[in-house]
Amino acid sequence: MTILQVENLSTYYKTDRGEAQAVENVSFSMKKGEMLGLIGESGCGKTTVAQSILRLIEYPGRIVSGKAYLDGIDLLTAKQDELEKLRWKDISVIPQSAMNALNPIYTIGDQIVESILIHEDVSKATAIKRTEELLEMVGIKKNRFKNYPHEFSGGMKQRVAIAMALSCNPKLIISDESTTGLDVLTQAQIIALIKQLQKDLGLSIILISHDLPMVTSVCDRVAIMYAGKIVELANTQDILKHCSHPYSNGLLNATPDLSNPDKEVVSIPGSVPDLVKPPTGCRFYDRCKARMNVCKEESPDLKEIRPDHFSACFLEGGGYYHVQ
Amino acid sequence: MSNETMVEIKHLTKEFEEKKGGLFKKKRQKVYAVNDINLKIKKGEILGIIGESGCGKTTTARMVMRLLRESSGEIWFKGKELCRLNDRETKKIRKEMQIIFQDPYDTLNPGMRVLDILMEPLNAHLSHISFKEKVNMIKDMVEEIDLKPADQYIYRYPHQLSGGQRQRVAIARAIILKPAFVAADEPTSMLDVSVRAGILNLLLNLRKRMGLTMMFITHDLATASYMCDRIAVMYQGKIVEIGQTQKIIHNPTHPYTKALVSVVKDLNYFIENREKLIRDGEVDSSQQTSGCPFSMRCPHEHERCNHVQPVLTKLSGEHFVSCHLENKENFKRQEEEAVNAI
Repeated sequence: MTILQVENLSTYYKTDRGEAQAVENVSFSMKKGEMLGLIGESGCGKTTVAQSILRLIEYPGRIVSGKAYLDGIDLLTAKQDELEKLRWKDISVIPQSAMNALNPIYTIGDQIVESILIHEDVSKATAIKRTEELLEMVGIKKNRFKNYPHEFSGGMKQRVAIAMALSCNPKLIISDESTTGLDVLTQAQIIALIKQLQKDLGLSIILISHDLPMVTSVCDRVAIMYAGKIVELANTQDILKHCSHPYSNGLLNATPDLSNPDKEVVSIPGSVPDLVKPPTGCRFYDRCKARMNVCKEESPDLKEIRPDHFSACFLEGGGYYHVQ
Repeated sequence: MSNETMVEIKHLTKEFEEKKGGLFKKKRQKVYAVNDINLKIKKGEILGIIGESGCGKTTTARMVMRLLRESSGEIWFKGKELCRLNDRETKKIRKEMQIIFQDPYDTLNPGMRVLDILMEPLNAHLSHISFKEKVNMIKDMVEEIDLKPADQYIYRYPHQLSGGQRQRVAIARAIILKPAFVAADEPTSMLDVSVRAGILNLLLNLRKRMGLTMMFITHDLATASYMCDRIAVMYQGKIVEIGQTQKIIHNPTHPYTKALVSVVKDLNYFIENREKLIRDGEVDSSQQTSGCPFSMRCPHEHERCNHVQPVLTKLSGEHFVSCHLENKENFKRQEEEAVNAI
């Protein structure tokens, strides 16, 4: 069953020089209970996609076009009061830095209770009970209910943020770089927790990250973004074994691999195009080793190269044959 | 790589004082950022130092570079004890050792062109050569770091360069005086994956061409395994394990190293077996124990780990580990000593 269907989403930001096309024509869908990884380098638009779905884009940004159906309701055209009902109850977010997401002058318990009371019609006692259960679920002891955010370490605050995201049983959770900035082991523990909750509660999660090894370890499907567009979308195993788009391949080749010490990592030469004046053709044209004449003039669409495996490249098989 | 030692650190310690307590009753507590570490870096070697934030890896590099004064200990470099040098001698020795910082957006002066940035070290240390010669040296250096042609880059300001290019300039600034020893403090952690590989390969090439000796600081084990000959794993100011890269990766011995390796090697294995690898739940790292610094997160914690500090002990060849579990005989002796001490 499809829980989220994003169609032709475009989001632009106004700058002094014109509008930057931060997200251009992005489409993807998500099944219920799935963990979808959205990865790419900084500035590729992955967070903008998330914020567009959550309708958190504010001036100077604007959603230019597109639809995002969550269980049949279009999030992008929903009215403000409808949105307020949807947020937290149907769709919630685990933010990047929990330190800034929590209010420093309220205890963590109060903050979670508040979010439950606003969105659900329950008594305060029920909300408190539910909060205690949530905290226990993410590995925080009950007696810390009345602690303030500054009394927690970074990883613990992230756990509080996870508990909060779960507080109203949302259908979809967006985790926006929620482990970036934490230490490696804490990061792994948080990811383990998210994965476990996903399994136990059947959650649908979009995991936004720039960490390729992590995403390919825990996600069911992966979408790779480059300069505002999805260039490849497939099951994780297909991405790893049949990686097709030249950019996705470049990304894999640039990542050191612990189990393969002889692998030489190779960088992708050049830099990301200016999104205010993006090239008319493929946005990866300047950096692509396999570029052809057609790539300069036309922009490739995401097309299915094998069952459930999409790539946006003019090369035969979406680049698959070229790469192998 | 020869067996000659380039840098030797002996019992290096850095303590900071932390003020704790209420408004009127202030308690002073000593916090060890670096706690009695010993290291040798061989000539031509890249030694990786890995660990999480706050484990003391940057503090160590800064002390070696004389950017930070040590609390106690010795640093030997080219037959000189750096901690005892006066300012003028320190300045002289800086020509031989340089540091590359983490953030290329912070370390380059935004008001200076690439030419001026690279001219600074030359002016400071090579005042006898002519301006023209210096410009030529700079052009050669800029081409060496793969910014070609040099004329196109040396008149640019940092904001006209991409992140990767800035880091290349920062590297050029560090090596333009042809130092014997370079400390690279997380040189790629601010860069995107596709650019990162280029910087790593550049450093490896420079090592080959110039015979650099390097201290490579990172929190990423995969990067360390790509770059380094040997790896030292630090935890809360202590070296908990040190050895050749392949030994550390294939035969991690300290519980902390084991957990780290499993996360990077196979995250799913870590997720399934995490109870066996590390203790979940909260750890108060500010609380200092008299025992093993890792005891609060260690899944194999024993009574003795809380009281007796383990010491680095040889496992094989150049592989050392500091853990009671691996070190039972030693432990007995230490326990007796501890009991006697009480």
